[in-house]
Amino acid sequence: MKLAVIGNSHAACFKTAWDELLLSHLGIEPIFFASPGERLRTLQIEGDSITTSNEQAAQDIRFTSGGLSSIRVEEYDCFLMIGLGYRTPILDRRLSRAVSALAVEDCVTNSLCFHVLSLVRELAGTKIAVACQPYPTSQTIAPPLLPAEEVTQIANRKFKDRNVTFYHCPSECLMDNGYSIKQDFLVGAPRLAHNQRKLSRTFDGVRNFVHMNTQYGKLFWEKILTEIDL
Amino acid sequence: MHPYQTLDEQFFWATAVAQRSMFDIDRLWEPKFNIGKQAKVVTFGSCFAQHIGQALRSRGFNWHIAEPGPAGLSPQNAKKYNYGLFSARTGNIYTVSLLEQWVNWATGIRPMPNEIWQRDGRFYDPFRPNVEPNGFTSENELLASREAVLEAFKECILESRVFIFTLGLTESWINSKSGDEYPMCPGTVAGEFDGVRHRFVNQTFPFIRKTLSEVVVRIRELNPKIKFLLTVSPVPLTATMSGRHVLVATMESKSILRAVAGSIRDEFKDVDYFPSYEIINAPPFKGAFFEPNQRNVNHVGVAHVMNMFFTCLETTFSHEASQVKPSPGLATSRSHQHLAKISTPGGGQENQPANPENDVVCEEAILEAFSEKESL
Repeated sequence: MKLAVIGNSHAACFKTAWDELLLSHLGIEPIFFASPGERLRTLQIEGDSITTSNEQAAQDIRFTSGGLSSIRVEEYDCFLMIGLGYRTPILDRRLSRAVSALAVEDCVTNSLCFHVLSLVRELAGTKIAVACQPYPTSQTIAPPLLPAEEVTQIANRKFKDRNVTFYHCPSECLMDNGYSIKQDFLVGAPRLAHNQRKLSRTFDGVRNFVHMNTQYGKLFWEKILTEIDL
Repeated sequence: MHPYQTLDEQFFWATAVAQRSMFDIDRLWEPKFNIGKQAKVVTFGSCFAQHIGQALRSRGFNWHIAEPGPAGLSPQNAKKYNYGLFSARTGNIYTVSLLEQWVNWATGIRPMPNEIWQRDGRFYDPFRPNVEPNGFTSENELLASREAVLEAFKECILESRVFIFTLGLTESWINSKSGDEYPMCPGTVAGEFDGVRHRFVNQTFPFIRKTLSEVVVRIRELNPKIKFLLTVSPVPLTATMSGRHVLVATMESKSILRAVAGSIRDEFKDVDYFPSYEIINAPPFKGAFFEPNQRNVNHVGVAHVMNMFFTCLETTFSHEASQVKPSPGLATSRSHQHLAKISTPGGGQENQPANPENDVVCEEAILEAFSEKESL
């Protein structure tokens, strides 16, 4: 079974986690298409494929996928979007339900993630899952907060409109506020880099305040593989 | 020799007004105090105040929004739900007595009344009837929202350096029993009108002056560094309950508000008045800054007012305001040709504001829907 994993820099820990878990025996073959930041905003449909005319993004795609220049949608049984700018919005619990729902909806529809999954949807009804982008630990998250579970439920409804399954960050990784990631999952985070043939295992010192580590990737894979019917 | 002989040309009608193009009439304001780019400025008041905040932001000033919409909410939805129109989600504060209510509620002098209106299973705040266009889902949701707005309004009072307030109306509606004032007549935007419970009050000069003076003193007690800038909305009344013709009622109301603003400016060292009302309404401007309905101020008028504001600040304090280009939504004041197009009857789209995103949210205009006459 071929799984297209499309993501931004947060895809790095999913790659290193996959390599360590050696899950190939499940019959799943993930192909990564990753590019940092918003570069994949340049993705567009060309025939039966998703491609980009942006040279840097194209280079990233070739690098992370092992040489592919486009995503031929019909070749994949399932798509997994990682990060791509959609974070579960942090909402004040004093907001009305109407405003909360609109805020989540706007966050979803304006995200790069939604842009990419819409391209996939245009070409195929293939199964799509979305893994939430984590919050950097430096993010100030002050109460009173609407619980992340409630925000996730609203997001789920929006994603389900497109027949997409959404996953908030694994509960084991979350701090008590339900949004931030515990410090343990920040140590030794891998990054996307072009200095090796595959995703870099270059670790950026002791602590990366934005990206998560391989352990985080493992837990997220377990959550997805447990819940999704591949 | 008499004292007029030594006066500058700005003090003579002929040289300051009659011999000039309307766009060259300048130096209409000599600000008492500077507004630095870092100074936290908050804006409240009538519909026209919304333009001031947006203009401040577009020029790089620190327009403080204490109650922003949630991150990610689109600008269209934020505006629909009254986020970012004023510094807190109070909705329009048309009268100085409404401002006094907000100050009292936010600072704990009085609790916010527990009156809540219901319609079709939805809950409406009588004191902000339009902030949730479809009402709240429950009383608790409404009360939680009140908690947020009071907290934000209090922050504005305590932490801002400049408090800009636009006086809009003298006509008001109050609860006969409690004396609480509503921003809109019950039954228009929400609620149900009751001739016994709801009473019309056309506020007088002495009442408005006393109330505004007390508000200034009260806020300054809490925040001694705060300065006030008053303006009077140039927007005419949508409708009047005064029993007088709406044009006469409009002129009377605005004259009272204008006189109060000037009087309070003269009483307090740290209170100033900016003449946006005059810039739009004075005879030399020939009504050119109004939309075809002769009520809404067109975008050229708004731009002219705000350019005058920043130019006067710069002239007085060698301010850096002019070095910052306004956003594309704000036209320059000398757009004669543009104004000519705007004023052309049947000018098609040119009769519409250039940037609808900059339109103000004005509940008072809803009254127009209750007029049986065809509106423009």
